[in-house]
Amino acid sequence: MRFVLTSALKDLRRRLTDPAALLMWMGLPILIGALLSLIDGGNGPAPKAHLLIVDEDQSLVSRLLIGGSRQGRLAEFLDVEIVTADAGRRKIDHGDASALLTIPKGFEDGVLREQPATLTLVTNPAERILPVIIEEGLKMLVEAAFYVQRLFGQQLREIADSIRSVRGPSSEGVAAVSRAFNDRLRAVQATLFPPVLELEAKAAPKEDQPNFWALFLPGLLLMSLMFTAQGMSLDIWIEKTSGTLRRLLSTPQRVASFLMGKLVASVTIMALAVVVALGLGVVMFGVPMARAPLALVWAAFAGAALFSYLVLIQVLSTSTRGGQFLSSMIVFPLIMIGGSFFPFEVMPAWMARIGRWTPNGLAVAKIKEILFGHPEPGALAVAAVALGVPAAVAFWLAVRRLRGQFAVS
Amino acid sequence: MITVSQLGKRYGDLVAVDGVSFTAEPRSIFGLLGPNGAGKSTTIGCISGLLTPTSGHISVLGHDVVTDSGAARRELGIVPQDLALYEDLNARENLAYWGAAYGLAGDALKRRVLEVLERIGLGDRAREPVKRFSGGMKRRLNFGCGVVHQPKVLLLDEPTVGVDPQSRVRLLELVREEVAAGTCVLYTTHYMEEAQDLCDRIAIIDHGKLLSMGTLDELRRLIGEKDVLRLSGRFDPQAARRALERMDGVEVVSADERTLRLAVEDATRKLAAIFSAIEAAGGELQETSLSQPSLESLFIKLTGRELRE
Repeated sequence: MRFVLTSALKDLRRRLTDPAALLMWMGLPILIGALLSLIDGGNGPAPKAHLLIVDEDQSLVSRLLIGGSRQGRLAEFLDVEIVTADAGRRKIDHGDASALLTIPKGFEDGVLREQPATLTLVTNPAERILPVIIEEGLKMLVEAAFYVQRLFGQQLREIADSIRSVRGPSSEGVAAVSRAFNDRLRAVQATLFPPVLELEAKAAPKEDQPNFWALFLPGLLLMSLMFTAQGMSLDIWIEKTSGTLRRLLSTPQRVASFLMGKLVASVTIMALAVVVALGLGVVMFGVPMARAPLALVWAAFAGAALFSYLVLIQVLSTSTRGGQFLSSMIVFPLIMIGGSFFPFEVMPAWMARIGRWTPNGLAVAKIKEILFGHPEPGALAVAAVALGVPAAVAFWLAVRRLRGQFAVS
Repeated sequence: MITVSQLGKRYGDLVAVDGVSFTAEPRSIFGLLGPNGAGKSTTIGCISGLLTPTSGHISVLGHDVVTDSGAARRELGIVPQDLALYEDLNARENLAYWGAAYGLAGDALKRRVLEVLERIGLGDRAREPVKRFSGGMKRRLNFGCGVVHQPKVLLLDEPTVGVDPQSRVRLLELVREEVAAGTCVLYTTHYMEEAQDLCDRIAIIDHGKLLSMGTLDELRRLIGEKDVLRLSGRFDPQAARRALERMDGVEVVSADERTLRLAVEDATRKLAAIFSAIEAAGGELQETSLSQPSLESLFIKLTGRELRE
């Protein structure tokens, strides 16, 4: 045990002589996070979809549709602009809007007289999420229009006809339409007021809504751990090429103690990085303080596992360059798919499913649960076994390889 | 004490060490002399436990290096041929780490580190990173790391390769100091002069086989009082060999179309007769060199080639 600590101290001292490498391991994820934050807008207002509408119908129904898109919840997501057909086409071609909706001539007749009517929506392919919001919003409006037409079709037709007539609506006509609305509502009120189906609305327990940084924090943390683990695992090549590994093998010490020292040094550096990141998270981004210690323990454990995997890759390689190449070929795709570069929330479902079962993805998912969710002890234990058992096997294999061919080849 | 008995080490079809046996005693230096690739470092590797012998037995102070490797390694110190230092640490930290690797701790370790720093002449540079050291300073520190734990058996694998003359002298003094303190030293080298000056007993090794072994005097006696005559030119090897072997006191060590090597009693008196015999055999002489009996001449006699070839 004493030699494990001696070895760990030796490696930490060596690392401190090269602070640039340490800063790169810790700073690169922060830099990437900052860039992503700039792209996304960080904590700014929620993005709005810019919807262009060409109203070729200029009717009561088309105006109702436009008015509906500017009211209620839809108004929170949609920024509606009425344009001509040419101006609308030009803007959408330049990518200046999320979508272009064309209400064709005869749309009102189609709605009121149950004839086919088609709305045309052109979306901006450069945007992924906002056009989907517009499409869903329009579907809701069309569905609402269908039910209004079913209930009040006759009355709406009469209003539309009277508006179009030269004299305008007569007092008798308005009174008749009002009475008809009243009769129809009275007929359905037994069902609607109160409704046959009683809906009890219960608000879900409100969780702390993580902001952008907090959502990215677990992934960025794991990215930092991956870089540290890779850098520290490469040190085994320096030990080999400088002859210190061979010298060590002629001492009475066990190779396992020597490698365990490296693992302890790696985990110490990783823990420092995690403490700094979590501290920033607590102070600046609303990460709950009470959850930080468990997150630190989990991150350190995950870091130890990652180091074990990567050190096995190094000792199975045939040269320093080979080890560097092979580990990079593994680390970078894992970072991409394992929720470090892109959070699982924005990944396609199938990719997120795979990503959550990568070693770093599993670690990211659990840190997220620990920091912002409700971690289940059982699930955490299963994840610990899933990470820890292969890591222990990798460590054992690495020790065997270090004792054998690796040192003397 | 090191006892090596019928040591063999193979790498597939390649035989690196073949049936080597010797014993190195305390308070003495046992030299393994041979050219590069002779099997010296492989022998050291097997003794230090870095390599597993294919056959034979090795014991260090009675501990078998395979079956009782922990105990054997505790008695050993090794100074490898290539530097084995942490260049980003300083001299003191290097010595402390390797001392700890052999079980030293606390005040004993600190005291020993200071002693060794003074002995190897790095006391005033103790806190400087090793990467700033000269080659000679690194060699001395490399030696210091091998003796920091005061081993009873010290393996030195060509410790003076690439060292400036001043550092070499200092290193050889350090080796003698270790021996004076009672250490058993196994010293490999391909520098004949070093082996002659330093070693109490010498084994000559080539192609993995031990060719000859003894004190310097015993080895000299093997070649007798013959001088070594090296002739360069153009020769018919068979004809030259026949002509020379008819002469008294002349032994042909090796012969090819460009070089003849002869062991000759009282060579200066026989030079004229030798030249005539060669000319009569159709040879053409271009260059001649004569040397007194030495390890080099013994090596030539044993292997038919020079040590540095």
